[in-house]
Amino acid sequence: MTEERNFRQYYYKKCGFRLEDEVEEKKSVEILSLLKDPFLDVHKLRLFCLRFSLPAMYRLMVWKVLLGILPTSQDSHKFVTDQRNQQYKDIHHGLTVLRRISSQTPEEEILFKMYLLDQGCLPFEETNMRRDPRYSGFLSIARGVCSLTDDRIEQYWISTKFFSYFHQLDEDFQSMVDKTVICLKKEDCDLKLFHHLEQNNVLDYLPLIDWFRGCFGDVLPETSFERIWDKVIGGSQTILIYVAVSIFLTFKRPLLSMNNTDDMITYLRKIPTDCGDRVVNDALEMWQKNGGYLIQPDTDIHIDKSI
Amino acid sequence: MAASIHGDSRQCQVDEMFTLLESVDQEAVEDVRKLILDDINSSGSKESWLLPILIDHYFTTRSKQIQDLLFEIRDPQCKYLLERLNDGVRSNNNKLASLELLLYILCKQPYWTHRVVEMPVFTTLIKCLKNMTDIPVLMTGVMILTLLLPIVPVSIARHLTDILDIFTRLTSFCVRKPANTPDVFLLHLHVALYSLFHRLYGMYPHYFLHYIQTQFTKKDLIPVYDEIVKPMFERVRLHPQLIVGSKESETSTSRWRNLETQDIVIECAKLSLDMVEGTWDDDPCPAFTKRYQAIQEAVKSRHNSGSTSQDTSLFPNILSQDTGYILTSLGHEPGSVCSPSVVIGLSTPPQSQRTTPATSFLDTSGHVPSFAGTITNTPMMTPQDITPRETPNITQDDPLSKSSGKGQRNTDPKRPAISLSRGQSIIDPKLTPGLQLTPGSSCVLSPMKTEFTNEPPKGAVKTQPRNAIRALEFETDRPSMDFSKKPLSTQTSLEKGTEGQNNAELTSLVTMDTLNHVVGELSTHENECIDDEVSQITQEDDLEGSFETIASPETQQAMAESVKQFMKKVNRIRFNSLNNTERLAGNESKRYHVRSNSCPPFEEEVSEESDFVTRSISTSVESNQSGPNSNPITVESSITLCDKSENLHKVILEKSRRSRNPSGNSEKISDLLARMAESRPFTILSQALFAPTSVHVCSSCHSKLVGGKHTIHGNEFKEIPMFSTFSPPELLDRQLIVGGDLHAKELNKIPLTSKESVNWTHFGGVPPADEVNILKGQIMLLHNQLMYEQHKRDLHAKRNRRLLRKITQTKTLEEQNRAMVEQRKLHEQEIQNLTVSLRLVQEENQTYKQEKESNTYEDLVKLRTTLQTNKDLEEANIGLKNLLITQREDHDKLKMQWQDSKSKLSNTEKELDILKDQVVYTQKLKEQVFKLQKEVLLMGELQQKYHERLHNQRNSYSVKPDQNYLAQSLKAEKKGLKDKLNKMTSRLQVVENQVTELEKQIQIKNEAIQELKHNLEKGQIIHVDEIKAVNDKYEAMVKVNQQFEAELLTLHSQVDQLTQKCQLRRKGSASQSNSCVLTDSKTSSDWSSSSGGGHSIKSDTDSIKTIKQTTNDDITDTTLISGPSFREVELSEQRPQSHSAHALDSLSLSSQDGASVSHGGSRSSTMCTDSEDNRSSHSNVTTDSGWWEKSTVSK
Repeated sequence: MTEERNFRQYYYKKCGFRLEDEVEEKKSVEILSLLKDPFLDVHKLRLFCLRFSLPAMYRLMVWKVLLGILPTSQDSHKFVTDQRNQQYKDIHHGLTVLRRISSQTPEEEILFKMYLLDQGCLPFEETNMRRDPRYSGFLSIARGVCSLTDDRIEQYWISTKFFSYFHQLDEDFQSMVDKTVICLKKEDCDLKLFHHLEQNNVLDYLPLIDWFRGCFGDVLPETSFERIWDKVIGGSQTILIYVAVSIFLTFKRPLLSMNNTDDMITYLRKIPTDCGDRVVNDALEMWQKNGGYLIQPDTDIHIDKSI
Repeated sequence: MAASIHGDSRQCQVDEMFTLLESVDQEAVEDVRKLILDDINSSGSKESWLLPILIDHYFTTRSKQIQDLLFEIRDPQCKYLLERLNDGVRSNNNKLASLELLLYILCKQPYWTHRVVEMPVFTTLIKCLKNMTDIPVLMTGVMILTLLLPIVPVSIARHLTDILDIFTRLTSFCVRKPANTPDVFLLHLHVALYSLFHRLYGMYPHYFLHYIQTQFTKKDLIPVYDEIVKPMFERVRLHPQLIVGSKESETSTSRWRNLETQDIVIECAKLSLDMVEGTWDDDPCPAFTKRYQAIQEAVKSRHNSGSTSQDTSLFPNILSQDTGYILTSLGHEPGSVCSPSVVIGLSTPPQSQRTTPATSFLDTSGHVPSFAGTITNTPMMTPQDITPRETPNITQDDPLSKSSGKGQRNTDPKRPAISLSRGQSIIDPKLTPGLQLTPGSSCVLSPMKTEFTNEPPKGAVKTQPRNAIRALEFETDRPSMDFSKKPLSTQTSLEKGTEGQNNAELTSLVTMDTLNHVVGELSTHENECIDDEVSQITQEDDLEGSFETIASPETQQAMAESVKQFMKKVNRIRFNSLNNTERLAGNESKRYHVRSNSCPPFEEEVSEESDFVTRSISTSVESNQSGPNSNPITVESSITLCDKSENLHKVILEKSRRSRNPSGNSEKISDLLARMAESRPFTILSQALFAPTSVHVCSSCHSKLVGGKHTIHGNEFKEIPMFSTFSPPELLDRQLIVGGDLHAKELNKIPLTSKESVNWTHFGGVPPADEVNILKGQIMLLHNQLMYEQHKRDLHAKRNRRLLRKITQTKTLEEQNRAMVEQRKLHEQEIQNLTVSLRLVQEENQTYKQEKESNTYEDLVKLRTTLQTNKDLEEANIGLKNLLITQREDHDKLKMQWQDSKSKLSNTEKELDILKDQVVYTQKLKEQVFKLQKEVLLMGELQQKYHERLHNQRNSYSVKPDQNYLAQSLKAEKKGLKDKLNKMTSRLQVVENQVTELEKQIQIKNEAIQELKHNLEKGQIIHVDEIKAVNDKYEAMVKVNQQFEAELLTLHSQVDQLTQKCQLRRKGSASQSNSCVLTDSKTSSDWSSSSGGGHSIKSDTDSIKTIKQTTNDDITDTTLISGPSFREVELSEQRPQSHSAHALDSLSLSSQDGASVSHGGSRSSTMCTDSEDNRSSHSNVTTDSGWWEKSTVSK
């Protein structure tokens, strides 16, 4: 594994990129040491997620471990994955047998139906399913996951587990909206934007809860939201507040130029992909500034392994 | 039309305007003037319409008002004015008028004067001057040029050659006069040329001289040069610029930049030696040596006749010699170069403040006491004291006066006068040294005069010859003088004191002169000149009588006083009046009249003088001095006066007092004047006083011409040409003086024929000389000249103002200086104090130092002695120490010996003791030995006995063996036990080792167990995980199954519905019996199989089983129904996982049962109910399934 380290790093050091490199190096060394252990320490992994953004190559694995898809012992990984695969196949087969899915059904919906089936909640009527409040949230998450990986099984497992993990927090979303408003007030130095948004009732109309439910899966581009998800999986959902605020702040100028509520909402719904990184960076910065990574994610927030 | 009307109205206005201008009403005139000026000046750059009208009007009327008006015109208009003037100059009619206007304007010097040169009028003027022969025009033109030269020194330089050409042309006129010009005019022209000459020479000496050199070498001009130009040059000094400057630099701007017009004029005037033109500021006297030589000659001549001349003082020769002598005496005086002639210098006031440093010892000695003696400082007091002492001197000196030094003594009589003057001048301390200087000088000099000694040159040069002339005059006049003097002097002395006397004498003297030179000496000069003249005259008189007069010093004093008084008044007399008086010498009444006319100005002047105390004093001194001088003349009278000296003295005192307090003077003077006016002699005197002044310049010329004056007769003198003897202005003056009266007289008699209005040709006669026109022209020319003089006066006034300013500045500076000096003194004082204190401190310091030195010396001495003693003591100490050491050694040795002996003694003593003891002990031992020997004997006996006894006993004892055995056995036992013990200990050791090994093993095993446990845990975790995964899978499967079941049930319900529908349809067609049932069952089984097969094998088999059961147990339906349902419940309780499957089973069974029941009952009527039940059951199932779902979810 160490050989895969960026060979340029030695060179970078000489050129004065030391700090980032060191962090990077430290990060990679740490994750490696963490992953080397046959029994993975979930707590440490979670902390790592909070502190740093995960390296892409370990991201899914770590996520799986943290979400309980994979066991802590590395030896049983194979067995468990087999089981998971079988389960997936069974459910998928069941659905196909029930003729609830076909090749035309979109992936996300398949995943949602599978989730429902797995939960035993699959309604008979499709319309009922769509009326489900979880529907949009799951779909956005699933969409996000789909963009991350092509493996159906992984897609299924990550999306379902992430969704179910995430929905333990469902009742907090309303309070998070309020917090977002407060935070926006704090961060918007001249309150110009805030007043502007308030005047146009954007905050009321905006699907902030949907954003939170979907964990920005379909709002932000994949490269951006995965870093947010790192933090969420790490145990800090407050990052979402900062993401929302940073979205507002990043598009402060265009928002200020718009006077129509609908314009603004439509604009906010379609966040340009190139801004994602900026938004996320700002959000992370804000989050770190407000001490987000100091959260100790062991007691309150933990993944329900029984699910 | 309109224009003409306008013009008419204007004409009217203009006429009105002119009438107003000429009106008597001053205010109206002023208003009109203002209006006109406003109008002209406001017309901008255009020519004002008024201007030509004004000029024309001037040309016709020559109105003074317009003249005044025109020069006030401002810049843009002046151009047009000058253009008009140009036209005027060009035209024949208005030439003179325009030139006069121009001259007037230039005299007034408006600020645009400098532009005149640039204007065409100037070139036309020059052209005109080159061509015209009309003397008035020329004279005016020359005047204009003369005026312009200093005003625009640079720009006019371009026309310099033209001007010089004009100069030559006009000078030649003076010699070869053009036709139809009266001689008088020429005189005027000459005057003008003379001033032009001064300007040219003063300003552009190089250029001018160069021009003269080239121009006057021409043959035709040589006589002109000799007659006109040369005399002019004789009246100027060498221009310093001739040496320093160059022709080019003369006209450069840099030279003139810093000079104002008046400066230039003064510069020019300085160069002049002329009385009229020149000024004497502060130039050294170049001509002194020359003059001195002449004086020397005179002295010699005088000496020759010196002895004889004492008594015959009246002889002209002697007189002349006297003058010479006096001059020489002056000359010999080292410090004071003063000669009587110097007196001229008095004319300029500033010189009076000068002081010459040199003083004559004699005077001071003589004067100081005299001064002290005088109570009132009056002049007469001092001379009284001094003169007696001096008179003998003089008399004695006369024979001795061969050497110059003695010559001085001879002049002593004048000293009292000087001392007087000094006494008076005490007020101004500065002047006193000046006074002291003068003694040598024969002249009588007031402090002022003495100062002149510094710059005598001009005066000297002139006066000396003049004196000579005077002498000549005297030669001729002597006889008459003698006659007139005596009676006059006696009379006047009686009547008015010495003053009158003096005057009378003087007048008598001078009248002689005047008679001689009727024309020549009549002309008079300015006031200042008069001063000089008067003094001179008096001097001359003095010279005359210097030898004789000694006898009467008092009278001298008195005379001096009186003369002084007189002189004050006379100073300011205008020559006009004098002229008249002179002219009308014979006519007494007329003379009186004139005097009275001239009196008022006297008063004024006197009062003026009162302001300048010092000055008045100086003048008074002058007069004083002149007094004594005049005294000698009146030899006889003075002798007679001797008796009355005291009386006179009183009178003089009075007068002197008067003269002292100038404020009161005016009255008294007027009184005096009145009295004097009554007395004929005074007027004569005044005439006499003034007359010679006019002479002095010409006399200077004369002096040159006539080397030995005393030999030359008066007749010869007369032959000298006028031009060479007089300067042009003087000539003119003379002419005017002489001619003026004549004209005045004759004008009254002018015949009709000579009047202008009369046309002579009408009578057919030749027109006579146009007297009136000539006179008018002359007046005009005079007017021009007057203007010129006024202009000059203005310039002088400007300069004076500047000088005054400088004086005040210097005064302030002096004040400052004084303050600074005082400050410096204070500082010096301070410094001195400081130095004194410093010195004191230094002295103190010195004493301290000395004390310190003595102290240190004493200390040193002490130190030295102590050191010496110290050394001695140390030496003694060392000796003692050595002694001590040796003694100590001896002591030690002795001690040792002593101790040795002591120890030996003690040893021997002890040995003795021991030996004694031993001796005692040995004795005891000997005793014991003895005893013991006895005992031994006894014991031996006893032993023998015991031996015997023992031997006896041994024989009686026997030995036992059992005891030995017992001991042996015990020993053996003991041995055995010991062996056992050894074995047991070794065995124990072995066991202990074993125990430790085992414990180790146990530990290892424990660890292993721990590890195993850990592994187990891990494995457990793994398995738990795995199980969880599997469980998940399983649960998922369960959920799937549930879904399936639910689906299945829905499908079943659908199927039921469908079958019911089918049955209903079949019932409608045909249906019966069991076959039907069978078929039904078959179909149902088929259906069920077909339907179940699609779902799952398991369900299929179940359903098949149930179908079989149903078929087998047809009859026992109810029990069956209840049975399986019961089972179901059980099953559900027992295996909740498999509950659903059984439930399905039961359901399917129940449904089948239902069907079979319906079959069994074969009641078609109940079918509906059944179906309804089925429906309800189906609904129940669905609800059940829903409930299950929920229950599972909750689980």
